[in-house]
Amino acid sequence: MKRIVLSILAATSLLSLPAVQAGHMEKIRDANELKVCIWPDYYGISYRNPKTLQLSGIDIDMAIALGQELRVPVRFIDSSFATLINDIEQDKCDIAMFAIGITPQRSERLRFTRPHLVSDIYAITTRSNRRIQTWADIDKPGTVVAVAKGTLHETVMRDKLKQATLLVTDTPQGREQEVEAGRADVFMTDYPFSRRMLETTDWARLVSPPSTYHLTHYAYAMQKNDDAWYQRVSAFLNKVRADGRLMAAIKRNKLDLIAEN
Amino acid sequence: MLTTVITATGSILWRLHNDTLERQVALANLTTRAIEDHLTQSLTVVERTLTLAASDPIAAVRLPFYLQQAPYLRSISFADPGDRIYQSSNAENIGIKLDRRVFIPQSTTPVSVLRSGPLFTGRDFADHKTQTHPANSDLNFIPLLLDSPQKDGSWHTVVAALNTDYFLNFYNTHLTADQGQVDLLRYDGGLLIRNGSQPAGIVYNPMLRNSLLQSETGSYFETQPEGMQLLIAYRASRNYPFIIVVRQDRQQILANWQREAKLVVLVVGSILLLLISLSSVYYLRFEKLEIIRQRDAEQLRIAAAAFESQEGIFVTDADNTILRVNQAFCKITGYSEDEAIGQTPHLLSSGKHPPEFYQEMWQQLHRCNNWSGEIWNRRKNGDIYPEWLTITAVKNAQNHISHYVATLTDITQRKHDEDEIRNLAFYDPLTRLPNRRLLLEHLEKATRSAGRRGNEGALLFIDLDNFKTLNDTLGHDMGDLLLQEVAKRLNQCVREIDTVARLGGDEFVVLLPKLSKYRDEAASLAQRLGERIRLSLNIPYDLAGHNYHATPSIGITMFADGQHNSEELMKRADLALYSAKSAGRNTVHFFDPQMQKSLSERASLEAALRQAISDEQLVLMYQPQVDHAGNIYGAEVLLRWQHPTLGLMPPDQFIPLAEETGLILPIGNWVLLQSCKLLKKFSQQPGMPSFSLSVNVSAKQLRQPDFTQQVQDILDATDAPPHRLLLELTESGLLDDIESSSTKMLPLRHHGVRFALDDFGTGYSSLAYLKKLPIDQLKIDKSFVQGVMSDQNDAAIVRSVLALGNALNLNVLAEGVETEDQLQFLNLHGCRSYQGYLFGRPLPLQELLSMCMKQAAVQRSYNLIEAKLICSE
Repeated sequence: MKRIVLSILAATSLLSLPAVQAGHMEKIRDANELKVCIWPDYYGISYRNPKTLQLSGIDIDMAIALGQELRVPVRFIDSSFATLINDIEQDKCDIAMFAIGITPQRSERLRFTRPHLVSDIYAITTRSNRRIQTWADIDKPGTVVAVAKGTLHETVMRDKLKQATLLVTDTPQGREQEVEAGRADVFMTDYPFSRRMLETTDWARLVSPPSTYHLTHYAYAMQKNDDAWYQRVSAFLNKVRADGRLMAAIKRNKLDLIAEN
Repeated sequence: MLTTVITATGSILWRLHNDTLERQVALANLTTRAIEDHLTQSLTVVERTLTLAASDPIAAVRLPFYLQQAPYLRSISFADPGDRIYQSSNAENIGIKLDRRVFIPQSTTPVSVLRSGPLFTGRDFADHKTQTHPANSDLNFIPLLLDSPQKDGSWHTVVAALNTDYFLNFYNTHLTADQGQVDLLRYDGGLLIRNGSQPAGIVYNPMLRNSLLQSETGSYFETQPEGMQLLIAYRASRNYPFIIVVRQDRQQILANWQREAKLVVLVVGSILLLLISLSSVYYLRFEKLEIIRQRDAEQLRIAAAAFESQEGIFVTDADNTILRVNQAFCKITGYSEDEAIGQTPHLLSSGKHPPEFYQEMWQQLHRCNNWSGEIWNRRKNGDIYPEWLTITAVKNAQNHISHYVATLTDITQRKHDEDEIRNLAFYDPLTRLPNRRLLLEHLEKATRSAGRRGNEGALLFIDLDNFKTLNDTLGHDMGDLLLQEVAKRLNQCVREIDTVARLGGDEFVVLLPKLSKYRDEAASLAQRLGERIRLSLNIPYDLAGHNYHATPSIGITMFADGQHNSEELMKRADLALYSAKSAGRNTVHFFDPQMQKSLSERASLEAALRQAISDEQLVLMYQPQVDHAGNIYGAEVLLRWQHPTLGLMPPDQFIPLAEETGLILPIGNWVLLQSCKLLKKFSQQPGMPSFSLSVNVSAKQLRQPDFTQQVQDILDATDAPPHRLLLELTESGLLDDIESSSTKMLPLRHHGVRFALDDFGTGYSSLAYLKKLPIDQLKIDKSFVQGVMSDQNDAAIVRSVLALGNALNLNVLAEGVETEDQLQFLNLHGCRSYQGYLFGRPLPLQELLSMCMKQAAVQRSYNLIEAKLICSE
């Protein structure tokens, strides 16, 4: 019995806009800034500390490094997985740098750099939840599995769950609230986010898949048709990979377990 | 100390225990308060949210918003007045009918108070299944209901599903399952939430209920039926119908304390064990030392006690200086410790032992390391006493003598006791006379001595006649008194050297050693003594007022040559006694019949002699003495006994008896008296004035202390001319005591009495007494005179005596001159006085006078006439 509840669909799949003619390299030069899309709740990747509003994470470091490479200041644009494609296509930013999982749906609309992280899917439940003890307890009747809208988990879980109820929240925070309030039993997330949950809340409990469940490669995303820009970013990434800056940033953020060369 | 440490540790642990409990109680109270705070605040937010929602006109749209920041709420719903949900954040709740009765606080009318239902199963009202017990469900919620008054006066009913997991999370973060248990109870006691995995039981027990009645908050200990003790802290919500109960296992909360206590006990225990071990070791060591010390002390005590024994002990160093003495030493010697210490044992020396004694003692001490023996020492008061002394030399490790230890026992008492024993052994207790044993000893000695020296001795057995009758009639006491008196008399009869013994009963023995060299004399003496005893015992006795007359029978045996042993002699004496008894008692009998006979004869002779003296049977004869010219100038007075039956007896047949019996004294006196009378007569007759008489004086006479006086008395009485009296003494008589003899002779000599030495040459013929004694004449014994012509020796002796006499100016008279040849020889060698048959045998006075007259007739006629005149008187 599979019930898919789509509680809120704030945005639907919109028609793609006309191709952008002007190259991003030139735009960046003209505007003298590099606009980088980030999801500021992405702990270890692109996280804005609400107490200081300081940004930190691998991709923040990399974005700054890219700005330096291009000799332009970086302007961070808040985005999310739900608005990612639009934000890129509408040129709200030159590049999205927040460890974006390469999914087939996204790959249709976006161009990804070579991935630098790879993560499986993890479940977060409450410590007091008596139903969910192991991964196998997730896909059971009556279990409510929350995912954030637009995340790769939404698609993956929609595909994977056979008996449990999938609850898609509008926001990533929503899925946490659902679980904490007990309306959902677990929410699905990736390795970096699960780490954040464990570190910052005292109610979260991690449920890991016993074996590889669904690996997702994380990379940066940009418009598809700007080869020059893509080359430039790729060159940059090759450079930071080569000089170790990328790895140093990964290690600094304690994500070296999921680093991908 | 052990108890102190244990007590202190126990006390500390107990205090820690109590502190821990107190702290844990405080902590439990604090936890309860924190949890209650959280609950109340959460519910306050819920109440406000619900109140807000109730009055929100667009609540339907805003419900998710209300829920967004309220993780404790699963859903918010609105119920119509029929309590059916008509609008909800969870669409599935719509249409659910609520049962208002299950909510507390209960009220029939709407009231603006947040009320709580019991625990519902499921995630939300929509999947609440009443048939399932909430405790068994893995998903529960608490229904909340609030009636909210509206401005228009109506009531809106808002219900919410309270997320139990939210609280459970909170509780878990505060108290893990193993730390304790948090229960959220509805105020009516229903269990709503419990952390941990324990199944929910009845927790709202009477105890909690009672406690709640007392106070909204508190804590207590409760013992579970299974024995577990729990700390219960509870707190009711300030505003809402809920109670928080925190339950902790007492064991659990004391676990830390127990760990600490265990550690403390372990550490303290180890230390104590170590201390105890050490103490034990020390104690054992101390015990051992104490035992050794006690043993040493014991030994010292024993040694001290032994030292203060009855025996006197003194210790000296190697130089013989006294270092220590005991009490007994002081008691025995009289010297105090201070007086003795520092001195040498010479202090005690009695002076009774010669230096050789001590030399020998030291030699043995050095040779054998000890000496013991009897020694005479002197007490401080000068008493000399016998002691038994033992000296032991103590050597040091180098085998050198370091000390001497001497023990001494005063054996005065012992010696006294020994004497006492000896008395008992050798003396008759009744009479204090020697008993048979001592008698035999003395007898042995006497017979041995007799045999060696040829001294005759005698053994007298004395038995009281009819003693048994005395005992029977007057009793034994009288008998004893008699025996004692007899013993006394016997002792009075004997000499110093004699032994009077009592054999038992009335049998006494007198041992008379050394009576005489001559058997007859000895026997005679024995007989006489026996007789004396007999007479002594015949004297009447005064026995305690009783006059008693006893007679003894006495048996005598003689012993001389040691040929008879003591037993034999005793037997013989006994036989002699028996013989005396047989002879009619009260008599003295000899064992030897021959001796008995001769003694009897002697007795009768003596009696006869006594008779002779009184009857004047004794007669005097006179043997003429002539000078070289053949003139009679004197005569020797000789005694004869004119026995009535035996005729005239020569002196050798009765003089010895007279000597023995003492009759010689009256006889001698009689002879002297007669002679002096005669001399007086001669002195008054013409022609005879120079006629002298030689009178024999026996040794016994001379021994008379008043001999001089007796002679003087006779001279005075008769008025005889002393210078005509010549007293003839024998050598044996003189030699007894030359000084005494001389003393007695000299006064007489001064008076004119002259002395002749009779039988000269037969005895010692010592020239010394010739010089010392006032001798006037030497009489050459007739044995020499008769041998002068035939025996060279006799001739030589006679010549020598004559030469001696001439040299000393002594008159020498030759006796027994019987031939002319003898006379010629004597004359030739200077002898001027003669006596012998050649000149005349002993003659009665008449014949002597006739002879004198004849001689005178030849010479001068008037001499003869005068002689006749005298003779006729």
